Amino acid sequence: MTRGLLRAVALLAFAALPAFGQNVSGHAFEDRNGNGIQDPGEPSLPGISFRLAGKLDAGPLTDTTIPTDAGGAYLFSPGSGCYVIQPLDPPGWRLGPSRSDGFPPSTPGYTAPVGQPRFSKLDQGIALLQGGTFRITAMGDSIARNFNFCSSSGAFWYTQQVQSRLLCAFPAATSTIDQAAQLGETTDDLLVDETNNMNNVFRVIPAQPQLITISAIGNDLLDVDPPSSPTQAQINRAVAEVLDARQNLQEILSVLTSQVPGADIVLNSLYDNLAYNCSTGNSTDFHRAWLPIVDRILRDLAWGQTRRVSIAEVAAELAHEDQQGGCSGFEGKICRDIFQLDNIHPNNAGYSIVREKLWESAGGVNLGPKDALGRTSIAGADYGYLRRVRRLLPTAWQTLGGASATNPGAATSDQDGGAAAQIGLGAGSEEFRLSGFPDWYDEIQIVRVLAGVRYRTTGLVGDDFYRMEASVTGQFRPPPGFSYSPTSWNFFTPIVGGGGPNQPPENSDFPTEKLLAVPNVSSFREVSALLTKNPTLPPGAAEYQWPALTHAELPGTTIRVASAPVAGTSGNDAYQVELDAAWLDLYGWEKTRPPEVSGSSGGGGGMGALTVERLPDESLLVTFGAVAGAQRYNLYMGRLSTLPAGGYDHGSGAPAGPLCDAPVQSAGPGRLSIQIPASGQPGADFYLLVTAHVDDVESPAGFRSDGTEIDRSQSVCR
Amino acid sequence: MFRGAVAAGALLGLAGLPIPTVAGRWKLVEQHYGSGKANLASLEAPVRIEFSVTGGRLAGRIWAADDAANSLPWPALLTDHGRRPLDVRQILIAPGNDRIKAVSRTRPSSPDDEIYEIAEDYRLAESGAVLLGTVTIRAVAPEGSSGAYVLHRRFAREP
Repeated sequence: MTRGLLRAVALLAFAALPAFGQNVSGHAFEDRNGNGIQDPGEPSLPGISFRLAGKLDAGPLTDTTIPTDAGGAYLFSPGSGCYVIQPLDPPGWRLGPSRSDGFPPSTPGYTAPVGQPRFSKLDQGIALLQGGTFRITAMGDSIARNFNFCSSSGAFWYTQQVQSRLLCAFPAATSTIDQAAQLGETTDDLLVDETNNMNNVFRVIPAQPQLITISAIGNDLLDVDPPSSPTQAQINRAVAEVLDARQNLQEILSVLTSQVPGADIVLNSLYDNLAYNCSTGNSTDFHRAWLPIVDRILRDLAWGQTRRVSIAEVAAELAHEDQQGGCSGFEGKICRDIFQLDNIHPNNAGYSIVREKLWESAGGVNLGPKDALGRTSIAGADYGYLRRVRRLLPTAWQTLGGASATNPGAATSDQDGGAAAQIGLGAGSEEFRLSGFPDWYDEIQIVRVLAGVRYRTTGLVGDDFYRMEASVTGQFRPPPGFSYSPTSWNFFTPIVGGGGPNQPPENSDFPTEKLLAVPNVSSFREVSALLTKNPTLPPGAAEYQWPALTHAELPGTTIRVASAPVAGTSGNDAYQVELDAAWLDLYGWEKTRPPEVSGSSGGGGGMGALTVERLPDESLLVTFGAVAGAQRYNLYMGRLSTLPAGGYDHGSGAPAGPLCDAPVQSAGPGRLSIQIPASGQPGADFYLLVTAHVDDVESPAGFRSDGTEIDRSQSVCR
Repeated sequence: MFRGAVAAGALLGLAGLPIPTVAGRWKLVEQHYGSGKANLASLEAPVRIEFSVTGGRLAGRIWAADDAANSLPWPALLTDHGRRPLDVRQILIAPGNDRIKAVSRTRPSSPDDEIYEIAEDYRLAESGAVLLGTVTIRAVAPEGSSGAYVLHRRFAREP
């Protein structure tokens, strides 16, 4: 309090300094559900470094870094000017997605073009801008080009506006914009190796820009728009195109991420007046049902890259309505062309929203006259984080379709000095699969899962390419004749490889599109993607729910490397994909593990305190101390002969049992017992262990004398 | 094209029926983006075009909803921000008066080297009952084409 007063006095004493109260503030928090919002119960993150750099209107440059306080809050008071915020990701944490929730149009203080703060950041932006050169490449479709027929402000206006703001913050920098985006372009176009324009990854890679902005997928969707009351075949065609676009964007983003390492990437989410704005077109059931899915796909694609791609939350701002909403969305933000040559693109007011969201995605803030609303303080610049709790490695591998694999087990280890499984590919339906991801880390609350691979190639990949994909079920494609629906379409997650030429078969197009932008990889390359499942839509729910992976799904989750020969041919290339490792990174948080079940009440005692008594009927009575809050107890039995060698076999290979959720009886104050009938006992000498489940987390089965926990994989009573 | 029109005309002439032409009033009933199948035409405020052919010269007027009193010479560009200047580069009518083309250009309002080109191409179909065609909207930057999108249109003849 005293310190605050002193600071205020000091500020007032120097008229040249910024006026009191010109603040940028927000919170860092643990985003335990990955929605970009600090919900009740989500912990704040103290000590996160926040950097604010830029230029005061009054003249001087500023570059300040402060930690968040005990409540996760940060506050800068730089005065009027142009700035960029950049929180520093703590080790092991990844910046979560920007918030994408909707707000009723009547929300107090909700003023276009700013709307609600949906901040992200450029990981390298400040350093690059201070370094002097900042090349921006604007890729994609007519939105990226800032096209409309309603008094357009000019090509690439919103990109130029953001560039101008960045240069306001860093006046010593020089910046150019590659005006790459083209009208009518789809995600496929970005994978066609054309030399007469820059709107494809093949031209962007050699340019090595510092910021890549992308708007895409809208034309993919428009080009397969089903009519009203569509047939299932028409829906299938449209969904197949959406999934093709997802593959394309995964390839586009992953290639740009790895091959343009100095660039930050921002992807626009997709607004859709056909889903939300009844005044400028006929909204369709298909758009209403699928737009939220398409946008979720975009957000997941962005977040899943090895280097997180930021989302400019255009969709969230341009659509306030849920899929069951009325028609009161962003009227007046779409170019209304009376003779109907447009009615798709934002008008200038709409593009101002796009500008603001791109600016926020870069962590940009203006205070004072340069802000779109003239704000002198901006609050709510919040940043949620997700923690990488554990990396899971597969435990099983399999070759299919005649694939050969040398040293296949190397792909199941990430700590073998770069040893790799050498997988012969290039023809037919050759495939190498990895599965058996551990399911026993039940204290982990899985929020998001990244499926990743590290690989290189040897030999020459010609035109018979390969794919890498993940599937939660191990079924990578729908069965023939499958009918897609909003809650049943998500069979696989693409990791490496776009849709490819003439895909999907339901809408064959782009014969010169490349399935792989970088087919031959000489040095190990990492690629990742967010592993997702189908959404659900419970009765009465207004929005889709996106369930996280469960532990039970981990063993069956499969990552595959598969040949993808030229369509219609069996392929004749012969090369190796050297797979160093494949993994699942679990993001989320951890519950507290219960204590080991022991002989003494409340745990903490030695194993010796667990007593075993043989009863007259030859059954065994195992007595132990109750664990506070335990929901159920399990009793495991293993062969005693395995212990001298340091092994355990009380799990799936146990000689008897286990007794999961075993019946327990009171054995006196604080003690419980489990009875093992004679018929349920192993024939040979055996050891036994008791575990407890508290809040669905199983206690350790025990610890070795050196303090290490015994093999958790044996605890199979999940 | 020309030869086909003559042949059709001869056939219809033998039957004693008038040869259909683009002349008349048309109502936009369908509009599709690219190869999409969704009808994006606004049926609440449908676009209408009326063509007349005099001495081999085509004239057209365009309006929306029922606001014929405020019709504009076709082609025209009218948004809720007002009428946009349009540089009409070409209007063509085929000898049989059954096909028309118009190419026009506009610029974004700010100083900009970009040009938007609108190419409309319509032909009679279904014995003159409908007018089918495409509108190609192309962005033309100094360095060349910067992409395009295509609208497929269907007009129904009105009495």
